[in-house]
Amino acid sequence: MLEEPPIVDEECDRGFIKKITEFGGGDVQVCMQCGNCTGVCPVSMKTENKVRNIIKMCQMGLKERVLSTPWVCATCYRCFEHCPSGMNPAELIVALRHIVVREVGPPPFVVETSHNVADLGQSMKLSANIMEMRKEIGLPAEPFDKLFRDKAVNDIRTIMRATGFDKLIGIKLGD
Amino acid sequence: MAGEGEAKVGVFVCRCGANIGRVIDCENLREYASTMPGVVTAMTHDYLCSEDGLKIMREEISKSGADAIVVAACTPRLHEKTFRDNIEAAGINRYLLHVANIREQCSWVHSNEPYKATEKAKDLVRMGVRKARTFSPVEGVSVQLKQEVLVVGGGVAGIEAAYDLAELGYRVHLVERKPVLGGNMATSFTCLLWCHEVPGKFQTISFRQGTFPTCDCSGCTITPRLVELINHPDINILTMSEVKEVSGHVGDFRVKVVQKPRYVDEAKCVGCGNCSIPCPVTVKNEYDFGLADRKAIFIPYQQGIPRKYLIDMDSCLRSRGEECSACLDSCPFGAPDYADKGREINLDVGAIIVATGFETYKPHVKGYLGYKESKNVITAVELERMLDKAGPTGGIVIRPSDRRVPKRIAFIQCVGSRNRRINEGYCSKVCCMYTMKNAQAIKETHPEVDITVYYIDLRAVGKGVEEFYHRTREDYGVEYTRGRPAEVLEEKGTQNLIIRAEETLLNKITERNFDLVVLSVSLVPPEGMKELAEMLKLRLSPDGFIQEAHTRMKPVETSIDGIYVCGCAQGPKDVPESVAQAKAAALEAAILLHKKVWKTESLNAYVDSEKCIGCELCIETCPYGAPVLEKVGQGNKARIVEALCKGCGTCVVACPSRAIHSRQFTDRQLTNEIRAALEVK
Repeated sequence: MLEEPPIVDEECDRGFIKKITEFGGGDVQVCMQCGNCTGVCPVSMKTENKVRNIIKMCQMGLKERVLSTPWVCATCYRCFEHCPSGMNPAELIVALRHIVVREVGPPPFVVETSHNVADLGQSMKLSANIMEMRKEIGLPAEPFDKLFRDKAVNDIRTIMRATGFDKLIGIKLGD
Repeated sequence: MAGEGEAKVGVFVCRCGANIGRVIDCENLREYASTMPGVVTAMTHDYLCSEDGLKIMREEISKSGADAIVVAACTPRLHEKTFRDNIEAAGINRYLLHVANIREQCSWVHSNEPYKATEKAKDLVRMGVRKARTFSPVEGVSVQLKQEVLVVGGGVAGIEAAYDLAELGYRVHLVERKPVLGGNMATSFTCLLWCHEVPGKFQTISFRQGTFPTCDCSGCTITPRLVELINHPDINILTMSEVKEVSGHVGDFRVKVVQKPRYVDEAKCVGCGNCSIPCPVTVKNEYDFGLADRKAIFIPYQQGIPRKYLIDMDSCLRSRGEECSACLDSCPFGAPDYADKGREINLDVGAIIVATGFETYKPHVKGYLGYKESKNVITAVELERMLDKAGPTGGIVIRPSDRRVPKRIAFIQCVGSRNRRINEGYCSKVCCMYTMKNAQAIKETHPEVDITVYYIDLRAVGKGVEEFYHRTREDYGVEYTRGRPAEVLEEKGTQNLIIRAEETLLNKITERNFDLVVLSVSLVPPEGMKELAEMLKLRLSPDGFIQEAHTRMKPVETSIDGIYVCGCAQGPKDVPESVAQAKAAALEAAILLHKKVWKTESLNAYVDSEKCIGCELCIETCPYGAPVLEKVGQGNKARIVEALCKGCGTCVVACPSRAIHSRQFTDRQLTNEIRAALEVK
């Protein structure tokens, strides 16, 4: 038996819609729940919370529920291309991410990825395995030379400081 | 008659129940007004517009001897005419009235600041009184009304309006662009002359397809009316004709109609069809969306009225210089006339009814939902041609790719409607129902076919329509899936179609295979709507259809006096609604014309021709086309056609030599009003 309590008024935060707009998520109330976005979404098949469900939760103000959902989106913008209401669900999801990071805190993989970007200028560390494979086919172990990488990392750190990204995620940049 | 600045002003303050009285201290306002110079009486009432209020107002006017009136009440848009009529009944010129808006502009917008609202109301009344003291009487303009009507569009709305007016005794000119009358109802959209009993399981039911919710045969419904129409002595039918120029005004519109050549003498042709048999040219019939062929001399559909043949000169051999006369040789009446040049007809009518109908949406991008990319994706209009017993496939539904009868058919709703990317995103209102009708029709002839309808929301409203929906699901077993299809992909080899969509009620993504996909296309404004609206100076609503004068109270009137709208020209609607509107429009036109003389209601502008320099700026800026240029002595001078003028004041502002004045809004009157507004209390 599935034990699922009903959604009650206490869960619905009507002010949440305004907050989404403030964070650049657009107007979720234009959505008529036609499901076109889910149909074209490449990741909705793999998840329980489909794009349309996320929008519906936002319309109802189910803040607690929706804040656990926004990390699988690939921001491919296919939903935006097809939406007959002219909404941009991908931007909504980006806005939700902003809200999560500020109100709940960034999830561990976001912290890790952000550190990688701040340290290496790229989101993923090169594993020893990959470096070995690169050498086997005659490439240098690292794709960028040190000078280029240092300059890129420097630029990225400047942007992070200027935008407050470092403090938001909790990265110590030194200086 | 009161000279300027000498008028004795009566002030009437309306409490509008609690609407004004709850916020504004009306007694205080009345006292204030009674102390103003020139005011001979001031009183309040709970509802001035009520019978009692109007009576008291008339009595007070005659008692006090007031000869200019200020009413402090709601917006003049609501009751200006009521109060004008009332003061006229009391013996004062109807234009010696000023309405100070103390409801919309005072009590409603300042409901939480009653003191300030009362002060503002005093300001508005003071301005009104100061202006009213300088009022001078205005004589309205009278126009003789021509007892003829032009109906543009020969669809179901147009023919109903034309018929009713002709029955009322007016001469009617019915202009239709196509070679046949009946419009979308009699032709493609619901044209299904299918009166035969269908073989097979459902033999006992005499099923006729056509209009929802009863599935009456639309051909059988409209044809009797069409026959009455073509035989009516007071109706002048002009097919293949378009309105090219309109000038004049209510009661006296001058209309130029251009009739394209038919190349067949309508008077001689009896519609026997002997001509088209020997015609050597065969082309795809555009009226059947290329599903069948026709000759160069043809009738668009078998049941078309008037049943007169026409020659398509673009495909006729004679257009290439060949001396073919096969049709003329075979016609027993000598009807084909290769020298036909068409003609120009000038009409002079008192009123115009616009009934130009609609077109169906053509999926805009090639490949939108597979249309024009996959052969087996068709529109509902193409499907309905197939369902026509007299149509290109004889009533059998086929897949265009291999002409097989499909086993699984999908309908996709809201194609071209509820989509803010392509237009205003309006709902086309009828597609839910015509899809039910089409689904039922298919199930009648092909009961083994599986039908799925993809929809967003189902809008089955109206008398008998909910029942119609139930029948579609319960008696015919049509399945409804809630979700807007994301993609329609063609399967290689079979040319079947795969629809990917979310079934939103299950929260699952579906991928299903169909033999035929039908797009339920929306209703859009017809080609040329913009040009026609420009010609007639009509406003269009954001969806591109004609804007009626008032959504609730003036549904068939337009912004121009003497021009009415009905049917889908005003917005998507079904046949019963179009007919109801057509009858309303006919009645409105008759109400206007039967008076024989029309009096203007609006305060119009006039030109001081001594100051006018003939620069034509007024002509350029006027939204109603009221100013005209006339030769006076050496130069040109502007003149305002009073029957067209609405008194909006645009030309007054535009005029560089200050030669145009608006009655009751003269410079002096406005200056007085402004001075009163800025006065320190």
